[in-house]
Amino acid sequence: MDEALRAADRGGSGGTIVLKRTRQKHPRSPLGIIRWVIGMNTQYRQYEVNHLPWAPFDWDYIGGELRLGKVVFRPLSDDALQGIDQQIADYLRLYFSRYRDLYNNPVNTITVCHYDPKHRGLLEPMTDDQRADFAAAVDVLTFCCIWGELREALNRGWRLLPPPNAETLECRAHRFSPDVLADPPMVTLVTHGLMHTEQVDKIFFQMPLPAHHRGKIQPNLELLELLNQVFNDSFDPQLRERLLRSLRWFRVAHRQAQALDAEIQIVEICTALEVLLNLPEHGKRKTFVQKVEQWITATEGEEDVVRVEESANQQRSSLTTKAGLWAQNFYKLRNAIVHEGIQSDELLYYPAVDAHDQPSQVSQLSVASLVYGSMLIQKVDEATGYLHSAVRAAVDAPAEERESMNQLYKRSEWGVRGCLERLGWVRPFVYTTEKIQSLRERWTELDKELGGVLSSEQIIAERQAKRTQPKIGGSMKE
Amino acid sequence: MKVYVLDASAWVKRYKNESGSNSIDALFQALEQGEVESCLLPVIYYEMFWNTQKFIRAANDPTNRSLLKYSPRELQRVLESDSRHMTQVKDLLDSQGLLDEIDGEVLDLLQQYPIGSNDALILAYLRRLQERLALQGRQLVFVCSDDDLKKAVRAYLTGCAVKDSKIDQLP
Repeated sequence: MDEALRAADRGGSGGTIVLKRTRQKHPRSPLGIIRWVIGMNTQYRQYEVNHLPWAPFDWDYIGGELRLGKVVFRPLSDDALQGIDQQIADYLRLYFSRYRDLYNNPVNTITVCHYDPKHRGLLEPMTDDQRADFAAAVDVLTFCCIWGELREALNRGWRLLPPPNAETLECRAHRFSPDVLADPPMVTLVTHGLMHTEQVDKIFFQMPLPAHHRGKIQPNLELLELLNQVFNDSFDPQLRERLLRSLRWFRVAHRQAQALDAEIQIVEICTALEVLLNLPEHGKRKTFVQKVEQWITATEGEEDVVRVEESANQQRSSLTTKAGLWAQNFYKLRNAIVHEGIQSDELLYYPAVDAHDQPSQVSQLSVASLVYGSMLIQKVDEATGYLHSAVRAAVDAPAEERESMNQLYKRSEWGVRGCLERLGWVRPFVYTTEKIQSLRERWTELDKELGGVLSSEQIIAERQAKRTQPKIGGSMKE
Repeated sequence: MKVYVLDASAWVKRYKNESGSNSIDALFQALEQGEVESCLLPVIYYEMFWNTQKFIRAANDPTNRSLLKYSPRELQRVLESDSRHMTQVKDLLDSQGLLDEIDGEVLDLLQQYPIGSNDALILAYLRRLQERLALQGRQLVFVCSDDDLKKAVRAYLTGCAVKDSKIDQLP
């Protein structure tokens, strides 16, 4: 072990990950200064493993790993620990086995993440700048998971499982030095700024209740790819800074989603919107309403947007979009929460309709998050002129067809038309039989290519497989 | 007045060109214009939803991307839009307490007959719906292209009209 570490220190990899100390510039943050001073005084090598302990990603769906900017996310596995010194790998296995779910079973949701895919430095401590990039990548990933699920749920008009929240995607850093690997392996915990050391096999890291997520998270990979553009060097740095700052607020707004902080979450998501839209110092509410109105008319078309009468005072009234009216009331709600407090929790909900046009209620946090996400995506899309991956693959298609494909695909990946219909902000699209007949031609053609996935024969065959012999009709008659 | 219940084996013809598609279209056109009524059984909606999702997933699979010239997700919205023409069977039966003990009937059916759990749920729902409609002097029409299920419905629910869009004209 020592030999391996010494070899690593000299920069020789010898099949292991290079474990050299990163030369850091003087840190800016107080935490960075403390780490820097500790590092200077002790001369200890520090390892650092960043991980998301509770995020149940569906890795079969995602593939082996996720990359956002220069950050790599991978499931904890032997493969992820390959190439690491055996003693460190064993220590990490033991350490991660202490993460427990609600039933005190070891979790199988640990995602390890590290900076810079080039050196795949799972153990390498990050510089302050790297840490900032890393935090931004986690914010983007959190947004994709939460917003994607929210959009799907609102689109469908029902939700089968509780949504993920910021706790589900909580990111932790475990810092340790080689001396904790000794028998018995130890872990240093920091609580309220004080450090104390425990034997690893004597403690458990229990899953916080809000982090518990039934089911698997399948992030929208196309959306991740779009947002990945924000990390490109060619992306406007000022816009990037603003978008990432707003994404931080989005994540903060989705913490403790099941707790009693619903009022504060409204203020936080409103701050995310303010940052995203770069609202001016004065006239914030008016500008916010204008931006929401511009967004909905631009994305859904003037004629489809629902307008309502807005009374400015007893003499005057004018027509405004229903979305604009929401924006106005939402900002008032935010101000009331900050300054006076609100009298009724009912104000925290917004009327909608479910999948069967029955009245339902959606939290204001969800409505604001939906609007926030759609506007964020619109900004990134506009800034990058994003081409959907399927369009990029269709190199032989004529330019005109590629353009319409691009619009259609992007709408299907992150369009919010169905959600807006449920909120009553746009008129429901009516599918006439003529329109469906024309769509049916396409679906039939596609189904033929797919080998007959959608057909009455298929449905009947699947049912037959569940029936026991003899055939049911005959049996019933007997 | 007749009240139609569509089975998934017939409903799917709305989205895939098959023998009987025109008849299903005619039924939906009559529904759109309020000329006839229809009820939606949850288990049938789930089956349709599952089948459409399967289609959307297969179409979105990266290996099939080259086949796509438009978004297959629209199918889900069309399915939802079509389902809005139908009355939720729960809304009709729940308030009357007619859904109580439906689980017991499903288990009995599964014990007695070699049928699948979805078949049993459909039969149990249909029986209660038929009773409710009979009180209002209305007739239940089950539209289905699954021959075995048609036989089962005829055997279990005497008096329930069973039609197949492949053979019968609708509505």
